[in-house]
Amino acid sequence: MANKLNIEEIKLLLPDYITGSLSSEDAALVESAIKSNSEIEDLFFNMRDALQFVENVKFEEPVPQYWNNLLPKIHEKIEARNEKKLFKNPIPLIWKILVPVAAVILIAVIYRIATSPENQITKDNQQNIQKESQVEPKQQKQLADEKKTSDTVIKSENNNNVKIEKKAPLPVFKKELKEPENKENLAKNENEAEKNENELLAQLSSDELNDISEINSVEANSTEEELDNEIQNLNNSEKEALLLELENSNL
Amino acid sequence: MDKKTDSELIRDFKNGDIKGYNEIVRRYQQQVYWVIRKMVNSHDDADDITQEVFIKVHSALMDFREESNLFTWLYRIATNYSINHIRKVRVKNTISIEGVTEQFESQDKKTDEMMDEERRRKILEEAIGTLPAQQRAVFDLRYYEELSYEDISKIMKRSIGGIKANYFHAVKKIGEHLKIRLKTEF
Repeated sequence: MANKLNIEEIKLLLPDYITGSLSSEDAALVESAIKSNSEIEDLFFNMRDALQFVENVKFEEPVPQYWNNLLPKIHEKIEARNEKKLFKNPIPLIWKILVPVAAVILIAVIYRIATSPENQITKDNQQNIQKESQVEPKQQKQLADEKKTSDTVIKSENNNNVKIEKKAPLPVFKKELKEPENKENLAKNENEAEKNENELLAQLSSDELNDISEINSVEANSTEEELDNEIQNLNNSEKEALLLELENSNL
Repeated sequence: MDKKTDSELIRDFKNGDIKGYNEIVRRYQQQVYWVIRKMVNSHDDADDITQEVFIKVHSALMDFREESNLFTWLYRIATNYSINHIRKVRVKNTISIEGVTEQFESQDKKTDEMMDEERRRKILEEAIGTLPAQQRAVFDLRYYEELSYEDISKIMKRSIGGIKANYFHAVKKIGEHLKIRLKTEF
């Protein structure tokens, strides 16, 4: 066993023995093993021939300027790779994540700001509708008027930049136009008043009627005389102003 | 003017002086080139790998802590790159040894009698080409570079016994291949 181990160890020393890299002690051990062991002897000749062949082979030298050009070529490659790295990854990864997140947050904030007032108005409207259903008809009218005015105000605010000159219509007038039933009621009331007046007149005696007509004519004459006097008292400029007022009042 | 030591050059580079790096390249370019060249057997491949080694050195020198010598570190990078290259080529290479032999036989007819330098080199390349990448690297570092087993074990991060065994098997295989090859040659 010990001999076999020694033989294996000596085998490993053979290449160094051939190249002369062994100490004299180790070289002596190898020489004795070569003489005494045929396997080691064969190995020795085989390895020696191989290493002699290897030693005789000369590698072709590169051209002399190769050594001068090597360093600049290396620097060129380093620069090219650095540029490539920059081109490949111009924006750091953190920015690639942060920018879209910030954009989404910004859009959400803008959307919330843009939509929140409308949401409040609709809630108010719903509350108004609920109130309308609970209050009496007169109050309903008032609330409707308020609602119309508030709607027109909001509309005018929303369209402020576009249609500022568009004024909100008068709520009462609008309501009269929108509600023909009210018109009919007013006409009925007027007719009823006329009827009552005629009935009262029919009940009065002829003397009483004459008194009333005299009173009316005196009142009318006195007022006309007073007006004429006042007009005569006015100077020219005041007259012109009065005429303009009358024209503007469509009387 | 005294030449700066490796440590001084490394310090210069770490302080932002590119001259330190340039001097390291000039100092070791030939050694690194020949280690690679004898492993890959081609100038073009050796040129590419040498450049890659020094580009790697440029990117990693800032973090180099000098726990080992600079040349040991350089040889380690060069050996690793060469082994990777050999393994890649071996996978890609579809030409069999028989095919290569046929090529030489056809060339033999042209050259007739004497084995010229080119043919010797080709036969050696062929013999070295039969070695596993690890054995090829050990053979290169021990035979051509004449490095000690201790240095090779540091470069390759393997035991001295393993390195000795690799070297023995490498020489044995080259001998066996050449024996067969030279018999067919003559």
